[in-house]
Amino acid sequence: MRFFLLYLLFSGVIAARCQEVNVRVTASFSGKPLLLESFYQLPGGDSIAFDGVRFYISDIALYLGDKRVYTEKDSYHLVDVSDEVTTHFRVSATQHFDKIVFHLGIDSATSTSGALGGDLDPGKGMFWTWQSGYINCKIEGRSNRCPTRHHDFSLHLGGYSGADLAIQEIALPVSPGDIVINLPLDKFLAAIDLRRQHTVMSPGPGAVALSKTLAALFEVSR
Amino acid sequence: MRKRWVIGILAALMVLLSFKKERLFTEPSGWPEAVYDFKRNPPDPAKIEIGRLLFYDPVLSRDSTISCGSCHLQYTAFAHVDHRLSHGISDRIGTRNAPALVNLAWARDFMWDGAVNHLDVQALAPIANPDEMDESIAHVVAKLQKTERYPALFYAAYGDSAIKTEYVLKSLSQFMLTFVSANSRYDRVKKGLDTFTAKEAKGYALFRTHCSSCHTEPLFTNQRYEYNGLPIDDSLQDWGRMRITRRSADSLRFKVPTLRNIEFSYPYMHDGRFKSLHQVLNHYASGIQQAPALPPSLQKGIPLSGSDKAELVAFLLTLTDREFLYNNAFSFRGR
Ligand code: HEC
Ligand code: HEC
Repeated sequence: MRFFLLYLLFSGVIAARCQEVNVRVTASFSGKPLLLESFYQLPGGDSIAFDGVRFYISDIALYLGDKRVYTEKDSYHLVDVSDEVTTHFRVSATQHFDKIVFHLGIDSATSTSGALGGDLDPGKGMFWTWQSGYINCKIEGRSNRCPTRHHDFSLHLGGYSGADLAIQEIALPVSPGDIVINLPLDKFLAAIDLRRQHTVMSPGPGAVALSKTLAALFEVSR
Repeated sequence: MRKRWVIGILAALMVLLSFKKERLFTEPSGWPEAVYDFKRNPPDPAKIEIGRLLFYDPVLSRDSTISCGSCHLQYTAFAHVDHRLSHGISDRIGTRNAPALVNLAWARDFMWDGAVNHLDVQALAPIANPDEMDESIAHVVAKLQKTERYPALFYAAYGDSAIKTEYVLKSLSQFMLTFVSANSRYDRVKKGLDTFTAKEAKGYALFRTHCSSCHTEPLFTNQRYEYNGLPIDDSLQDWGRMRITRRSADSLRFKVPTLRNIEFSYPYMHDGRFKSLHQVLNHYASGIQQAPALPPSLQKGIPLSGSDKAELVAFLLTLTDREFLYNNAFSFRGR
């Protein structure tokens, strides 16, 4: 009987402190949810359409101040902004938190660990076959700004070793409750020059620079 | 009482299982520790067998014409004999010579330039290469799922009848990891079970002097990227390791290949430019091209007389491991 009471007490405490938090990842263009294959205006009169926006979010952790209060296990999420199943996940916070920290991309150790499954399945089109390594982020589409065949742009950002390391840490302040992380792609296009930066297909300084630009744009929306 | 029985049986099973693993992959005595992380992919006969079937199955290519075994033939130590550059789908010619597949468990990275960082992901390269198998791994998995035989085999090996990329790649690794060549005459001499002829012994001494800094025993490679003085082929423009690291210091460096079974793995070098060991030795003696990556030991060429060359060749032939080349466990054997 005493044990039962104790059990009740504890489970009550845990229930009160353990809270499911929904995390949603979105992409937007000029404040509206991004729609693939639809044309948007760029400042200056050019237009742009996206065929695909996919990226890895890994190593999700919640912080209260400088203290890490939650670490997701096996934390690898391949987010495809056009596929809702991939843009939602849950984390369980056992304490209050005021900051979410995650990575854009896949770390070096994971990139050299051979065949992996789940979202890290190299058959998901996010792995370079001719030169091993995950593609942290793929942004593809068309814009008349691009001096390429069919005006295509393909930004395949990745690289896991040495100076080519492209993974980026992102830390965002959050308030209690569900978290919506947004990537405003209009701001990305304002920050880069599609006339020059339209094709990146391998690791290198170009991929690292674009990864940094992109990571700095993630924001929390409510 | 019953509990004790159960524990007894479990213990016996574990001993049996560990015994089996040991037998499936053993590091030859005196060799360095294998690099491959077997903990992530423990050897298992069912998985090795799937790997063998996949290795020889053209279903891995777009039009079911090319298998891994088309370019990697067992009797030539899994190199592509008679083809300077690899020969893939629809007779397309690649840009490099297919290397021997020998002692892969000790390799840190793969391909002539080290483009591939783990044996498990090696197969992705030829499968996706338009000049080789021109297929996507996702489609290969879908095709395997539709076959009659594979789902049951994967279920038996992985406890999952939904075939996954991971299982396909790990099975191929398991099969290739069994390609251990450690029973050549050279090895038997080292173990005191055989002796070199006088000619072979002289060749071995020359080898120790001039070659073993790069072709280091017992693997006959130091696993590094080196320049051995080959003039660049203007039509291929292959700068080797530099393509991966983009460092000019790596220009013209290629992975030092093993020399085990070298008798059979011709043609030689990354572009298959030499057909015979005599051509190779003539290169080291008098064909060396200067470039920043060339080590001092090769800058003046290696002074080799006619008899030195004959002795070196005699030694190199002792690296032939017939047990490996004719091991039935590696062969196609029909299906
Ligand atoms: C069209 C011919 C061709 C086919 C088919 C082919 N390979 Fe290869 N293989 C090559 C060539 C050429 C290289 C070297 C390429 C390079 O260095 O860029 C190579 C390299 C390798 C290596 C690296 C060896 C080392 O020591 O670095 C392995 C392992 C390998 N292949 C396994 C496979 C497997 C498994 C398959 C089937 C999925 C396969 N190959 C299919 C031609 C082929
Ligand atoms: C500086 C390091 C170095 C030294 C010293 C060296 N080699 Fe090599 N060797 C290499 C490299 C690197 C390659 C591959 C080069 C390429 O394909 O571009 C190679 C390739 C070979 C090959 C062809 C292997 C194959 O599978 O295609 C043979 C045979 C060979 N060496 C024999 C020798 C002999 C015999 C000596 C001594 C006389 C020697 N090497 C000394 C680095 C070296």
